[in-house]
Amino acid sequence: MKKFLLVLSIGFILILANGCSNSSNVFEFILDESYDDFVTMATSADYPPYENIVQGDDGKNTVVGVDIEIAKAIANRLNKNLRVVHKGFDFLVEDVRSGKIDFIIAGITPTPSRKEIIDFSKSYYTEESILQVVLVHKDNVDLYQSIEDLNQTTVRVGAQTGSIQQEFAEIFTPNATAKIIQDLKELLNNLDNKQIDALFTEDEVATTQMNSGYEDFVKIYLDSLEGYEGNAVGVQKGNTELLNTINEVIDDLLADGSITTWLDEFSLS
Amino acid sequence: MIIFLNFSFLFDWYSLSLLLQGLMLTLILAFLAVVFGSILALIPAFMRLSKNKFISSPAVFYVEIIRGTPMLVQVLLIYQILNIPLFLIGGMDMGSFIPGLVALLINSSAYISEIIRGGILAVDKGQTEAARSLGLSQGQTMFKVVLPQAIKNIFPSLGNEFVTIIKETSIFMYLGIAELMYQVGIIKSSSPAVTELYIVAGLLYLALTFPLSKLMNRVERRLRYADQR
Repeated sequence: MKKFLLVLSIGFILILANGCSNSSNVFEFILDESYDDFVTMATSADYPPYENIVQGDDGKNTVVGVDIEIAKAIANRLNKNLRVVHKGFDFLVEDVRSGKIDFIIAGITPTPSRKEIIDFSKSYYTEESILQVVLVHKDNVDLYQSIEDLNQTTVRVGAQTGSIQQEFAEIFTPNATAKIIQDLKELLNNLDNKQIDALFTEDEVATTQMNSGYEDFVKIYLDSLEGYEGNAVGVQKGNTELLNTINEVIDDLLADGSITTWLDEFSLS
Repeated sequence: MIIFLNFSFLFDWYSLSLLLQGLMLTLILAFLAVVFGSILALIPAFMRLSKNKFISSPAVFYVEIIRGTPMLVQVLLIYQILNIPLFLIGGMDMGSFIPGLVALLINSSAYISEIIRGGILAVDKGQTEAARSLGLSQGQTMFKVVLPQAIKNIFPSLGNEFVTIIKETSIFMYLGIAELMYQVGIIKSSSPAVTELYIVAGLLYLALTFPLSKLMNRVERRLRYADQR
């Protein structure tokens, strides 16, 4: 018994010594040795291809994705290194409002209520680059061939809380029973187990998930909506200096096609 | 419904090390909360025992508010009130760790204060009367006679509270504190084995709580040793 406990505690100590750094939710990117300051960005890293936590080359956790590349570009323009904080989505807007962090990139859509609290940059995903889709299970593909087939009371549709897809679910399938929760992975799993019949999400996210384990889904593409704004960067209210820099960076990235390249790159991995 | 379970992620050292690190931090958080929570809990417990209404009613108020509101609300509220800027200690973001720990301490102190109060009240009144008539002061009576006996009553419930706190630490995943459910979230975002991951997480929590309650039972039996006739 004592020996067993000894082995167990040594095991624990080894694990702790091995990588205490993996118990951090803050990731630092040294972009250039000459920069001596950090700019802090917050995200909710459970949304590949935009942001996702994976094991880095050195064995430690790191955060990757399209949004992270955009953040690096912004930090470079500011001549600062980048620090990324990973937190629950609900805390992000609050953290920017209080000035705890400099900006958020987390696939956030500028809704009117969010605009009252923080300022938003211009959209970095244009409507052409981001298509909205509904995922259905391939076993049900005969039942649900178009969006109209989903608009029945017997159909359960899923979408993420506070996302633009939640609004799409309300607009396209008002009769269906909606399951609105925060956790995308939970929704995907529900669809896989047929606990829901359809899931509103965006094309790149769907592609990434279908490339990494969920092969049984079929996409139905949605018509684009009038007045839909894409994802944007959030900054503290009144911080126009930072906002202008971010807008410049977004313009450059859209012009040279970097964002599209990154989307292709990260949705495959 | 047939579910094919795939536990292959357990053989991946990276996922496994994340889970075990999360387990460790969960245990550390719960331990801090119970130890410091118990010390903090003495204040409302004794305040509530006081006969003076002005002393006892704030404690009643405190305990009722903490017990009557969900832990999630408390964490969110304390996070907003304690606006701590981001700074790192040992790679951990103290700006979210400190509010989280404070919320956990406040929560556990309210519950433990009730346990302590109950334990003290359960000591036979004759003990106090005897001690007082032997010439011990009120303070001496409390700390030398009543409290040592109360600890025996407190202990089983304290173990119970420890188990509860271990489970409640899962709320911290939202704050970005890397306890077990946070690490589960990281593995989950890049693996389709969600059901399996939840089963493993549940078993890991059980691996913490079950030996703990067994250990508590043992200590309790030792404390009761003198009671046997």
